[in-house]
Amino acid sequence: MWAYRAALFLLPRDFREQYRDEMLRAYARELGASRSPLARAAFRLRVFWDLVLTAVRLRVRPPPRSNAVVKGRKGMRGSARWGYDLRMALRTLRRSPGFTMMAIVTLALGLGANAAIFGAVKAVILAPFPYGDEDGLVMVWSQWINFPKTWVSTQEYQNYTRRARTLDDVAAFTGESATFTSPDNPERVQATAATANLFRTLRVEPEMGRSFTDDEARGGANVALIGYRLWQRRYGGSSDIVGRNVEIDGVATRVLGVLPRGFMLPTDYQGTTETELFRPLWIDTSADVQVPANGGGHGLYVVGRMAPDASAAGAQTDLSRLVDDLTREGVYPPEWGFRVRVIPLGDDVLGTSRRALWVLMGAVALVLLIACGNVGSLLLARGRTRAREMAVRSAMGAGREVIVRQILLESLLLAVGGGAVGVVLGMLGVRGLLSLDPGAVPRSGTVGLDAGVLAFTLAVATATAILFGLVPALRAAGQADLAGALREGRRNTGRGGRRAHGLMVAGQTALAVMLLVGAGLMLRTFQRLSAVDPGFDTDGALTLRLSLPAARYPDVASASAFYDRVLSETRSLPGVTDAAFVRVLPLATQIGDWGLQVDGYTPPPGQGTPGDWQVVSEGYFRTMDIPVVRGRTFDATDDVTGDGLVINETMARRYWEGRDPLGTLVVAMGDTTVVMGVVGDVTHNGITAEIKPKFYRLQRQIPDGLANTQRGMTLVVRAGTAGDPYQVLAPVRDIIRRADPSLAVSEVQTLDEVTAGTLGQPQMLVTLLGLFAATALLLSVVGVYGVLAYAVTRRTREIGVRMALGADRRGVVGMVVRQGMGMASLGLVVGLGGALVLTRTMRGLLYGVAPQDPATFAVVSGLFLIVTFTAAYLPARRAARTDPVGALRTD
Amino acid sequence: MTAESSVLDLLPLPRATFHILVALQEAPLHGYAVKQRVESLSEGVVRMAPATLYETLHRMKARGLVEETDLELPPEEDHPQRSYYRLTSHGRAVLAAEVRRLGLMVDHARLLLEEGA
Repeated sequence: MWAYRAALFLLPRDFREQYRDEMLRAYARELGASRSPLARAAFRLRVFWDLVLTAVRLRVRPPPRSNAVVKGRKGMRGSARWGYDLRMALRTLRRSPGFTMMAIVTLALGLGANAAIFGAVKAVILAPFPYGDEDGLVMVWSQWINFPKTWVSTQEYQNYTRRARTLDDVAAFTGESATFTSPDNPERVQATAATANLFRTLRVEPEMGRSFTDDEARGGANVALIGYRLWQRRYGGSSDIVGRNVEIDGVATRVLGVLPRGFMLPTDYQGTTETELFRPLWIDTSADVQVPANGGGHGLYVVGRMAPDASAAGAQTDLSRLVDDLTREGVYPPEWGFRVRVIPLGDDVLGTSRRALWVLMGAVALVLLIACGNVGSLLLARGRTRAREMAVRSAMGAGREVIVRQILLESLLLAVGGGAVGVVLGMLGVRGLLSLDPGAVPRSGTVGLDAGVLAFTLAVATATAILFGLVPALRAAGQADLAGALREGRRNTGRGGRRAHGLMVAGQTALAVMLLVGAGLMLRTFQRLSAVDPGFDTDGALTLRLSLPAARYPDVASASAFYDRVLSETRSLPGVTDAAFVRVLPLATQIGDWGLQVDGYTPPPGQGTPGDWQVVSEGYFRTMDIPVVRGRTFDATDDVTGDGLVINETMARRYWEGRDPLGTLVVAMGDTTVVMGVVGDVTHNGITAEIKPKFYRLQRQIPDGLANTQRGMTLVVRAGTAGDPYQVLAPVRDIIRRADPSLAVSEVQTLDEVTAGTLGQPQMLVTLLGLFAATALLLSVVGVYGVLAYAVTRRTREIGVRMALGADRRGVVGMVVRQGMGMASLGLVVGLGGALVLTRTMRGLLYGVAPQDPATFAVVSGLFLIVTFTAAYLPARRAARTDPVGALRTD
Repeated sequence: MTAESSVLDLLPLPRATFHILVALQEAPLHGYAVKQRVESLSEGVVRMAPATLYETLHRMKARGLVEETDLELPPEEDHPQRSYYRLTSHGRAVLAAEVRRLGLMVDHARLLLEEGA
């Protein structure tokens, strides 16, 4: 007795004090009840051992002090419990590899598409421009009747600089090209002449050296800044480039500095080449200047830095008022309809790409929702087969939140797995697509996988897991509490589950329909664009650009000698059928206009007589296969003294209005010329751009005063219909090198590539939207099929009974197909309704097709019904093969 | 947390707890009588040593499964100051849930046995 009393001190004090007396009494009574010494010894042993264990238990896990109900499950807490649940979830997923694979692949499609497009959105739309405080920058353009967005003239620039109150700084720059004329390594680069305040306006500091000053600009100093890439490429990144003299266009030019890596002019984002040479441009802004009567030359890009308290809208109002003032003062004739456009820099650069990418972002979000629907369906179906497992687990003591937590954890694992696979696939995919045409989207070169994209994907994956996992998890937890679930587990659960499942599939199909409509509209747009006839033959022609430095080709005759030599040698190459020079190649470079005076034509008030101006060598129309409609074009008989002019059909129609243009006098580029021929129209500033009046002058007839207009020319080489046009590139290069070894050749491309380039963005959109729509269709079809196949399996017995009662196979097929088509039709109706709303956002991306195009909607509906019918028919046929006797025996 | 899920959270019950709940569902008993009742109900198979008995009662009290009564019962033998334990409604619900759970387990096992057969 004393030993037990002593042993009680092992117990915690409060417990001991509360129960000691009773425990001692119980001990005494038990001991007294034992008869034999052996039994007493066994009893003592047992009781002492029990006391020790109890003491340990009470100290390790003291009972709660109050009568409060204890929450949570025994033992594990916090991280340990999560670790346990994680292992459990992994084991569950491993046990059903088919389901796991299916879910991960489905999610990878959805998440991968999202990662890819988000990567593009981030690089193209969200990434900052390489300027300080880009939100304060605006681009300034001119607008005339028939010219919605065009260059700014020197005089306009002077006025804006002097009088705009909302702009702190206004900088102007040009787009041109220049040649590094060293004999061993001539290189042609994109260049600009910029006012000295350009870099201050953009808030950019040179990486090395300094920018040019107003004085250097005013004095016409031969100085330049170079781009980072040019510095690396041509000078190996050597730091002694600053202050060195290099020969550019035959003139020794001192390099003042190097611009930082990644710097691009706002106008560079539209193309694939970036400006690498920056020379000073002087525009005197010290005094008001009268705008010349013909409006002056328009050739400047203008970027402005807004005052700190100004907005783009405010700047627009300010500059508009300025222009109105000038018009009122008589500086601008009112009939010109001159206006100014101020566009925030980001909007100006990104243009329709922003809209295109947001449309794609919406599309991939739909794909992801559909994928969620599919995985949710899988989980629901699985949840029904797991009802028994859940009931057992609940019987074994798993609480409801334990079950919810575990299914959500499984969902999360699936989503993260899908996201990991998807991110890799998505990045590979988008790289591949963009490499097809890097010019389709500005800034697409920097698209890639980075921490931001990974974080986005992880966040979306987590949201996805909750989206598709929560309903099945709650349902499973609900089933777990049903005592009857066990006995029913093998057969069926409530009708409600099936209806929820059906609605989910209907929702998916609705989303797929919206995507299909979007892709269909884009496909029609692309067809329309591809069908546009550019007006010339694009097959089997190579083009390349040359620029003759004024230092060595001071007059038109010296340039003619060079052009004639290159042409005659090129035309005699084997495999070459024809060759010609042209100032600006259609669809490759934007063309501007020149004011004309047409004999016998008076423009209506408010309009001038502009014509897009083109300079060509003889043989141009033959080489391009542009049809001659009337009269003749330039040939060898047209010498330097000639004054012939060739015009396009649009000009003939607009300025001659039914009269015969042949033989009419036209003042063009300062000369009085005679119209000698009319040629077919050619699209120039874009495949869908309006075709404007255009005139052609022969290169060798250009007056020496305008010699600059014929120094940069594109050589077009027609290389027959067979074979690769690039085969003639090497011999043509040889010819040019022999004619002038210091000339660089640039912009080498075929005419096919030039036209394809203008279709870049629609092509990218149609490809991606088509891809996403196909994925969506596939996923939703799998969804329809899955639900029906599963329903058929579970209803085997019911179908067996029906057939035993005399239902024929056709009736059974009809029953199942009806169920499937019911879901699909609901989805189709909702989807078409949604598409009517959503496709409005695509306005501006479409061409030749309305957002509500009935044909597209009809074709999509038909396609969709056929595909879902197939998906429904397969399980239906299986149902019809049910053997009634066998089905009844199941269970 | 609902009462129902707090019931589920206690399952499965430790063996001693289960037997004490069964013993107490007839009438309130004092500590030693609980032990005797459990033994007699199990035909002497389930025996509890004093430490486990009082530890379990203590924990059950803390969880609200049983409560001490202030019933004035006729003094038994020579120890009038004993505590009597009475099943709470929560304790009764927990016992019912455990019985249902055990039933499900048995049903499940029986199904499996039949399938195997």
